[in-house]
Amino acid sequence: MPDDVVDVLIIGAGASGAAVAWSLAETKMRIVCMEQGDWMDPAQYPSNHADWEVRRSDMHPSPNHRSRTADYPVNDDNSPIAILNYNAVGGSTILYSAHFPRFHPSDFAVRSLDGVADDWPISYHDLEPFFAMNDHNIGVSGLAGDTALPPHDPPLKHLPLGLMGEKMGKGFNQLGWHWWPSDTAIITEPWNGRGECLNLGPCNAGCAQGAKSSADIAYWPDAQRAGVELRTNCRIREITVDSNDMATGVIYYDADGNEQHQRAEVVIVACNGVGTPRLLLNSKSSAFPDGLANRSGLVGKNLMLHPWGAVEGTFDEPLASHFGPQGSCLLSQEFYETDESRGFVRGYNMQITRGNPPISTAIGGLTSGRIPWGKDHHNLFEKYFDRSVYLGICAEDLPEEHNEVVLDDEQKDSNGIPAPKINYTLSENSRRMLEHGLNSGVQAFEAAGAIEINKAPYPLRYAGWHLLGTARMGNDPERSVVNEWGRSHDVKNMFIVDGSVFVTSGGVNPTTTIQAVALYIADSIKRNLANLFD
Amino acid sequence: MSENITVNNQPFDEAELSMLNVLAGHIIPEDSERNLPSGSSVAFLDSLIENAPHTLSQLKDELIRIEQSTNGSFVNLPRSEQVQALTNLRIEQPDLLNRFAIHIYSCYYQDPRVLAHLGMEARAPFPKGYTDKILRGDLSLLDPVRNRGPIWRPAE
Ligand SMILES: Cc1cc2nc3c(=O)[nH]c(=O)nc-3n(C[C@H](O)[C@H](O)[C@H](O)COP(=O)(O)OP(=O)(O)OC[C@H]3O[C@@H](n4cnc5c(N)ncnc54)[C@H](O)[C@@H]3O)c2cc1C
Repeated sequence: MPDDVVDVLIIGAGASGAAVAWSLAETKMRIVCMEQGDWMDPAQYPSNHADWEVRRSDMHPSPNHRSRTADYPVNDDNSPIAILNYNAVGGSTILYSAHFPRFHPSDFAVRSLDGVADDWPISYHDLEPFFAMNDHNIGVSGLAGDTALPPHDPPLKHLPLGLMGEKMGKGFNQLGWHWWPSDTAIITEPWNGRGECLNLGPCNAGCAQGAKSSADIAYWPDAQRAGVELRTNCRIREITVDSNDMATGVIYYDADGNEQHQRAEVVIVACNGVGTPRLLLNSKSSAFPDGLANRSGLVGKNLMLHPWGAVEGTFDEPLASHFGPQGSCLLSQEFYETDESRGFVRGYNMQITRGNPPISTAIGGLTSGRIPWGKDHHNLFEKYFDRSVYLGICAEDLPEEHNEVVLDDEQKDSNGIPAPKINYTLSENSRRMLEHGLNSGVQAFEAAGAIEINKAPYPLRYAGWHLLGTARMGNDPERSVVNEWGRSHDVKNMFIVDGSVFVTSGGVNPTTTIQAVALYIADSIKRNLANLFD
Repeated sequence: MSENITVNNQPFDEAELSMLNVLAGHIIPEDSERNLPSGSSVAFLDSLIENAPHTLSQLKDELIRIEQSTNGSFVNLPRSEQVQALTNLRIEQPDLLNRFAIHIYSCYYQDPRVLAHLGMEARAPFPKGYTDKILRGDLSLLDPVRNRGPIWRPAE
């Protein structure tokens, strides 16, 4: 239907696309979302099978390893951190650990407070109602009273701490450090027709119970019921514009690989911090020879990835540490806020995660040399299995223009669309922060009584989970890509709602903040409907 | 040794098969105190052929190497001499049999007897889950954190 014009076209059905679709549905506009992947079938997730540990490799977080038709390759050879994602309805939340800590008020004002990077044009206060709305929609579990954040009250009770959580808590107490059961996007009580977490374990391979609030189950059913149309297996090649710099729609490939055109009054991009700049850079025209909405030259620049550090502690007693949601237990934000005497600005979150199940313990031990084969195998396996705990360091990554997403000269996806290429180097500030974080991790394990402590080399390579900053928000069109409510400075009927718009990265996993920003932008669109393009 | 004659469609001949069995038992030996079986008593062959076909030619080369180092009599040697032969070979080639070992580990830790020893059932996690395994936790441990008061930095 070449003349079929929809009111709103959302590109990408992941965390942010789902939230924006849900929010806009109440306008009763004609809203269509196009997603390059398909629906997941939870009955196929590994935890439906006795050999679930082996099957987890089918859900590798790197698109280059998976190479499914819905995936696009990412050339990350020029980055110490590999890009991780998932391409399906639900986006990367299909694989996420659902650790759900919010940004802090200071994260929005780093230039005013610390003289680095830039302030956001919006504040924690602006986002607060949208954090709460998202907590409710998603069903966030947690414990009110966290002293590292302004007061907020998660709707569901916190995940169990377990013996390992208690042990780590005691260690943090001995050091006089902050710790708290983390906010988690995993339901601990029945919520909105879904059953509570059963401790299936392998959250990063999809949740068969549906307790992990991935966007396909936590947002899309409600958005569809409210009238949003979701079209799967549609890969957008480019966004088209007219002579007035207004977006007219998209050119895409359908499931059979046929080129199609869809017209739209408003286009909303939600393809994540790598997919969004890739799409804009691929959308070249005479009006936008350097890529759509790129008159600032900042599309693809300032990529932030949260360089990651990891410490493992082993205890001398069984801790049931391999059961339960692996990525979410508790956190410490003792070193989140700036203290320049530490040798770096800004800070990091420490995330306590669970130990490995049997096969991963054994194979990890073989590769590291700690659990070799032969006569000592059983003794050494026993030493580590069920007694190991991990501490992850999520370091705030400051924006630097040379860290970027560009188009690759050679690699293309299955439709022949140029793939993204990553150029990224670790800054000196991040290096110092990670060194500090690793030493803090060692101290925490010592205080908790670990008998063996190992620091992993940093930054972890397979840790590019958080993709931020490549179409930043701001008031100045020369220094930003979108305005304070996500509208492109250059293309007045195009919005960006994913982590690309982040001005800074904070020091925590970003998805609750990504969804709060998406809901805030949707709310701004609704409030400005009468003069949306002025 | 007749090369590549298949036993039940397997790419290994009988001599190779008996070597693989002996080697699996070296990779994870039986532990009678813990009542744990050896690596050779868990089912590993079918999944090796099905899931790790790319490792087979390297594995066959490794078997030849082991045979040559023991003048073609590896399986007939006393166990202590087999261990010695493997130890000597691994000094020269530390990653000898590592891919095979990864496969044995992966099969071993799915075996119902081994899982029972670890306090686990050989079953899919879903739908039963493991709801009785994790303590809710003692929240009074948070008192020192509460008593310290807010630590976040106001920005407005
Ligand atoms: C293994 C893993 C663990 C993680 N753990 C956590 C965690 O514990 N806590 C946390 O906060 N975050 C975590 N994350 C990150 C989290 O998943 C992301 O922050 C979040 O999903 C980003 O939302 P988004 O909407 O920006 O993008 P995504 O959720 O990635 O969605 C983007 C969607 O756009 C689609 N798309 C892209 N390009 C096109 C195109 N051209 N045409 C059509 N469709 C397109 C993609 O297929 C995808 O479905 C994790 C991520 C991974 C991979």
